[in-house]
Amino acid sequence: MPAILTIHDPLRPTARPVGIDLGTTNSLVAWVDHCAPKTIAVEGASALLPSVVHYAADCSIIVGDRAKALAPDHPRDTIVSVKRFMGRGGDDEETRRLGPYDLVPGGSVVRFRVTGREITPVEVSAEILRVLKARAEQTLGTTVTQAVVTVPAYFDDAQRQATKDAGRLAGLEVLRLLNEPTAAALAYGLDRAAPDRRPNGLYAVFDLGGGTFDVTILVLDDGVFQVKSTGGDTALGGDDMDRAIARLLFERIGVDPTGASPSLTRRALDAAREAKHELTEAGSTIVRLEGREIPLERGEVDATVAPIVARTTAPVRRALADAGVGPAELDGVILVGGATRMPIVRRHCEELFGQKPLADIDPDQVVALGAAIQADLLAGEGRPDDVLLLDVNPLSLGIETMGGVVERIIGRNSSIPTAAAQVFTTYAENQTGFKIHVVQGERELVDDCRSLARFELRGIPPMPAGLARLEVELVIDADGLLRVTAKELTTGIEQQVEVKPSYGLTDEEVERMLLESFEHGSADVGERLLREVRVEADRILAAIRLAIGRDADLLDDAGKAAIDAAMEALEAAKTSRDHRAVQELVEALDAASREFAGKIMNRSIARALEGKSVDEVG
Amino acid sequence: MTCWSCGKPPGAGAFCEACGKVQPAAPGSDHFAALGLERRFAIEAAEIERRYRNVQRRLHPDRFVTKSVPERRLSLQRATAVNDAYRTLKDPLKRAEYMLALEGMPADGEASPDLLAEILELREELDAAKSAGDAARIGELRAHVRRQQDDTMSAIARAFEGSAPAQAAALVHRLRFIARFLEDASGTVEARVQCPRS
Repeated sequence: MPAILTIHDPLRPTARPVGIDLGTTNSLVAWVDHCAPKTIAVEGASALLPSVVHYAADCSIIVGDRAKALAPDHPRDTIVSVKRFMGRGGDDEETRRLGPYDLVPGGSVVRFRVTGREITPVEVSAEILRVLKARAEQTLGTTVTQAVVTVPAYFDDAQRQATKDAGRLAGLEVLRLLNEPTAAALAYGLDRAAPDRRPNGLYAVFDLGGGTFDVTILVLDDGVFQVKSTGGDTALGGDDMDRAIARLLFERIGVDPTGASPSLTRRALDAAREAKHELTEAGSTIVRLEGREIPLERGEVDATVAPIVARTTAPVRRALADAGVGPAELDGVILVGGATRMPIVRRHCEELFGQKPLADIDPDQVVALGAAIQADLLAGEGRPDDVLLLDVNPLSLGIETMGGVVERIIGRNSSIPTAAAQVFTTYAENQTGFKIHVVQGERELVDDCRSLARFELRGIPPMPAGLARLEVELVIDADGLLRVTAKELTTGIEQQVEVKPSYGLTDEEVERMLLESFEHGSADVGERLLREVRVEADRILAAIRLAIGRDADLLDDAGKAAIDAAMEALEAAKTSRDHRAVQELVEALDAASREFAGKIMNRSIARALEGKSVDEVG
Repeated sequence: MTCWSCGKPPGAGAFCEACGKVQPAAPGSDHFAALGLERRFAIEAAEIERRYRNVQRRLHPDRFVTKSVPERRLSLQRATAVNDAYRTLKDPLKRAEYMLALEGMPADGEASPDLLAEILELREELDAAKSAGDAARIGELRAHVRRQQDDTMSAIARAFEGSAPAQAAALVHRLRFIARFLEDASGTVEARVQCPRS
């Protein structure tokens, strides 16, 4: 830390937490600027960063619009909609759907083969987060180390854990995994911010994104947002519509989709997405694919996607039933996610809830804005309003018992944080070990639920069958993440529980990736260093200008000239792409201003001894 | 009792009266105390909701992010206990079962033959209406059982007020059968006991 910055502590820009919407199609970063949440524009004018990552042959990594443009020509080395693969195994049904990727079969995590190496969805997501972090730092002129990252409310434990790992890999402390619909409600609830007209009441949030669908019923009561129930489908979204429309296009050009090349598949999916967007406004469009012009009417596309839209019905009904309310009791329905722009989705939503939904905040931005508000709340900077989020766990948690049946321990839609314990006993004489299998889901049989973790308790003292009493406690924290503890009650021995997650990366794997990402001498590291040093340069320049403005009398002509020269040199070099050169000039400026800094320090101390604060005097 | 932080008597509230730091829950405090409610069966659903949100407003871990480690841990413990209390008390059946447990009264005794016969008859009627696709009849049956549910809940409240836990236990048994019937009759996973919205 340069001397001049250390002294002027009050001037030092503090690292501020940001809100990040890590979306299937686009990602955004937002922050709270004087009580108003704002998205940070990336890639020129747009705040939306396409969630597309391209792995180039020269080992560089490209994220966003440029990666999106490269996708058709490099379909296997460009990962689109990576969110759909988060927390999933290599052989999951969802993993194997229509897509151009070269996947490593099997395994507890998906692995893409790109340019001769294997990468996981966590690493791909971390690349997106790194870019968002860098853009935020550039815009805010501070380092950004903390973030609230949003996840679909219906994400299971493995998917949540994967998202948190991605944050860690990108150098971000994830303050909170915030459910997307709750974030949206926060943005809406506080948007009509005049406290006298904040609309207390019961709301539904209908969130249809690129890859996930969530519905949440919540009560807003004087600043408390209490989620009553949530439901959804983590494999339902605009991408499914793109695939259905792409199949329609393949049919029109007489190509069998299973035999299509990865590049054609990518182009067909992109053409489908574009047609879908155009048909949101227009009644008909013309798609160009393989040198053909394919006319499409909104009506036929609606018919193609109708079965997908209809899949939102059951989760909505269940969420309403779980909350114990009928549609007529709702005071409003909030639309979130790009897919809710489609007229067919709006119509369906209106039918389900019997009222016109609200869409006055941009459905693409509302989640990031809410995340920024929550980040601001957690930063403890004390908003004047008394806002609190009370969320629930989306899926029941249970333990496998004899015969592959699930013993439910924590029901779905329980308010979090929560904990529940269950006592198990041994079934064999002198049994010293006990296998425990934790699952998540609403079905009765283990095979129909999602396996979360398996672990074995050892060291139970030999006892007759049925005498040992094992208490297993499941704890869900405020992020919706699970922790397990177990103890043997008759002896009181606390058991060391080694949870082996059924899906996802182990801690060691994340650790290794973290090290690799530091070691990789790839272009993005250089880019990051460059940005960091530019931020540093701006900070020290601003601090010194301020100091000169306030304490100019402490400088003699020679000192002033030396500092001016160093400032000029740094100012000129700031746009250079050589981060080392900029760094050297930052250090040179620091050296030139050290004596001045010392004098300021002495003056501050003298004033402090006089009993006046620096601010008072200044 | 002294405050873990300042060593002075903390008072009865969740926060020390002397230094304002959050305190652990009093030993032996129950779900009612966690929400600041009197221990009784007859509580308005809206009252539970209101208390719950007001307690969490002060105790939720999000309020303690910038506080010290012991304060964060205590807030987490208390918020978890508050959520547990809320989940138990907002459902009248769970609330009644919990009150019986506090009285040391087992809630899973034998069902009386009369109760079994009554429920069996209702189930047969429900199955018949279901297979005939007679939505109106299903609606009637549900309304009938809902009335029974209301009556049973009033009776449970009276039994607890009159310090007759054995009588309450029998009625709770009845409430459980009613809840299960309504669950099946709704055809969905609708709330076990219909709670009026807050």
